[in-house]
Parts: sequence; C-alpha cells; structure tokens
Amino acid sequence: MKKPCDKYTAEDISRFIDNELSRDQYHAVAQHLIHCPVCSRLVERYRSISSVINDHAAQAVLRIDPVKLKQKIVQQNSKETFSRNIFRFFTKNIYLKLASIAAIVIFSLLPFQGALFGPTGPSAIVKYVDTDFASVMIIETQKEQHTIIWFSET
Amino acid sequence: MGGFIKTILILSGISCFYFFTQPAVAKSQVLTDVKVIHASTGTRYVDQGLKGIISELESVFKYTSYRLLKDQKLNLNFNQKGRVNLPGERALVVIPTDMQGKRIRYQINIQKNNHSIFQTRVLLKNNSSITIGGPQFKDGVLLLNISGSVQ
Amino acid sequence: MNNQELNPEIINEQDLVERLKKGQQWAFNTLVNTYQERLLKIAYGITLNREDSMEVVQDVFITVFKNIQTFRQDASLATWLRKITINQCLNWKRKWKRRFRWNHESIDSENDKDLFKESKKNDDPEMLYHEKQMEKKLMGAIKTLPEKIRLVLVLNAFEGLSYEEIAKTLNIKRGTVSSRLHFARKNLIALLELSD
Repeated sequence: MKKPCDKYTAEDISRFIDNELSRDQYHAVAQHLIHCPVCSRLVERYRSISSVINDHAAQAVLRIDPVKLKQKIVQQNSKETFSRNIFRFFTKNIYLKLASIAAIVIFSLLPFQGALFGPTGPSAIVKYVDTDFASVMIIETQKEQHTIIWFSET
Repeated sequence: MGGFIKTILILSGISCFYFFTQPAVAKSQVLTDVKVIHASTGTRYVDQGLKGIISELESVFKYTSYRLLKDQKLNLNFNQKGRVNLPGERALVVIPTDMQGKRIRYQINIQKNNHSIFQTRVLLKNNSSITIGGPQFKDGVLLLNISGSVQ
Repeated sequence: MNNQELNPEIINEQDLVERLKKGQQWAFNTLVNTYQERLLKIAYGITLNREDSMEVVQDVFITVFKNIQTFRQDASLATWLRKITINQCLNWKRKWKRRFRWNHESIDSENDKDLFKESKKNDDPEMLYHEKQMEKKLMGAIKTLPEKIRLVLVLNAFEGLSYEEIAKTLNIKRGTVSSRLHFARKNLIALLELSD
C-alpha cells in the first residue's frame, strides 16, 4: 500500500487513531488532517474497520445462561467423582483387575472385527451416476480395489 | 474357586453389555473425510497427507504432482448434508443416507455455480474411500477423495 | 445484559471475587452476566466461530469458578478473564484435534445469511445493503489474517486496550503491537479494495 501522503505513513495514521503518538505529534497530525483528504479518508476507513467488526461480533455471539452453566459444572463434578469411584472399585480387588484387563483386550479387538469380517469387493459400489459430461469411467484399482469415478469436463 | 467364578461372571457381564449396547451407540454419526487434491503433471510432488492413497492413484493416473488443497472432516448424521467448497465456484455436497449391511450409502453431488454438474450414489465400504475426478483446475484436475466411517 | 440480575452493590470487583470464593450462586450469575459479552467477542474474534467461542467462554467461566481460590487480585478480574480466554482460544485448535471432535461444517452461505440478515432500523435500503456488503467483505478479509495479527486487532478494537496493555497481555513488544495493527489495517483495506 502506498504512503497516503508525503508527510505521514499509514502506520503514523494507525498510531494516531490509537492515541499512541506523543502529544505534539498527535496535534500535528490532527492539524494535518484538516487539509489532507487522503489521510482523513484513511482515518475514517481505519475507524470504520473497528466499528464494523465490533458490531458484527456483538451480533454474532451466542448467549450463555449462567444457571445452565452452573448445572453443567455440577454434572461435570459428579461425573469426575463417579469415575474416581469406579477406578477405586476396580483397583481394589485382584480378580476385578484381571477382569478389567481381559475386558480391555476384548474391547480393543472388537473394532477390528469389521476388518476381519467386513465386506469384500471394491471400496465403493456405484449405484447411480447422472452428469452432462460425455465420458464417465468407473475404475477399480488392482491392488486395493479402490473405486475411482473419472469424468472429463472437456 | 469363588474368585474364579466371580471373574468369569464379570467378564461375561461386561462382554454382553458391550455387545448389546453397541448397535445403539454406533451408526448415529458418519465421520466423513473429504480430501481435495490438485493433480497435475508438474514437478514431482506428493503431499504427506496422501500417503494412504497415493499408490492407488498412481496406478491409474499419469499425474506426477498431487497437492492436498484441503482436508475437511465432517461429522454427519444420516440424511444430513455436508458441504465442501471447491476452487472455481464449485462445491461438493455429500449426504450419507443409510447403511446397507456394512456399507454406507452416500449421495454425492458436485456443483458449479450452485448447479449440479455431477451426481452419484454409491455404497461405500465402512472405513474405506472413493475418489472422484476430475473437474479442471489450473494446469491439472481436482480429485476428491471421500472416506466414510461409522463406529 | 439483564440489569435486574445485577445487584448494583456487587459490581465492585473485590466484593464479587470474595462472594465467588464463598461459592455463592448469585455471584457466579453476576460474573457470567457481567463479562460474557466481552469474552465472547474476544473469543469470536479469534476463533471466528460462534459455537466454538461459546464453548471456549463457558470453559473460561468453569476454570475461573474452579480456581477462584487461587486468584490473588494482583491484576484485575477482567485482565485475568481476558488472558484465560485468549489462552483457551489459542489452545482450542490443538484440543480439537486431540479430542477427535469432528465438527459438522456449516454450509457457509447459509451461515453467513444468519449472521447478516439482522438489520438495524435504517430507512435507506440501499445504504443498509452497502453496509451489509462491507461487513461481509470485511469479515471475509479478517479470516485471512494470521491468528497473531488478528489477536492484536481484536484486543484493540473490542477491548480498546493501549499498545502497552496489549503488549503485556500477549508478552510481546510494544513496537510489535504497532506493526501488527498496522499490518492488519493495511491488509484489510487492500483486500476490501481488491474485492470492489
């Protein structure tokens, strides 16, 4: 972005609107703005950025209900207490510990049942295609039977 | 002896609990991952995020460069629309409609300027993916890799 | 803010903190009602997402509630809340990935419609349209700013903080604040001009 005018840079103007210049500098810029439409315009634009995003954010944000939030805290606390008690229950008894380990082993194997006993065949079975493009191809890769639908826009 | 019986009972109890509740927990949400890939014949390049599918793509396409433009993860209920904006005023719309056995039925639409230019219905294997291409983009094409997972 | 819920006697910060330490529900309500809009705006400015910003600020209030006993009042409550909010926002993306919380992506154009359809009373529809277009373009341009730049802009625009205050809040130099703000404004103007 070009320098707004020969006298001041855009960063000077930025610091002006934030009141971050020394008193003398501030007055000098303020005087300058009276005669410089370019810098005045920049001041107006910079200020409008802050005001527009402020208004937008104020309208955009949702509202928190403190009563419901407090209930959430209470629920969280009771869940934490419950988990702590469960943990204590399982670590007290050796048989329970063993049973927990066995259960964990079973749980961790279960997600793989899909892979072990899941469907064979291509990764996707294409049931329907509708397009204006003239050429459409359905390809299945050799190794992984990965399905590709290819069309050419030309 | 009593301890052993206790262990067996607890184990069976936990397994039964898991098996009977699993269907209620599963299939309520379809985790759909959409990778938008720019494939071209430029300098050799393969994005790290495409490690899992690159060998399949390279076995079919002659492109030498595969750039991952976007990797968007959508958490959709059945019949919920997911939308991924694509370059060139295009968009991809995916809707998981239901399950057929262990396959997820998807309706997939590619739109340009809000008009449908390509539509398909597929049965996607759970935890697997399909690649659709390719709308023209810059010096190559867009490949859309869509994967679905129902837990 | 619902003024009926605020007891004018309790706006005094020291008093509020003491009542929070005693666990008074009424004090918690006041805390939330007094500060939520400010914190939500900051969070929204950083995350650019309504739902995320609400979750972040809820977490902030929960954190404050649980840790109020450790608040030593060497800085003001507002400063403390602001710092926690900023940290939570910056950690938000990392937490998001760790929890494998895959958010449904709202359809952009519909989301924008919701946010931009509210109209202030304005007799000139053309002026209103122009204002709304400017707002839309500006918010689009803000999304392209790097997070650390946007953070400075948000603290300046929403909180009216001085460069010194922003520098202290973010642990950066005053000169860095000035250059980042300048960068933000310069780029936003340039982007707005480009899309005209």
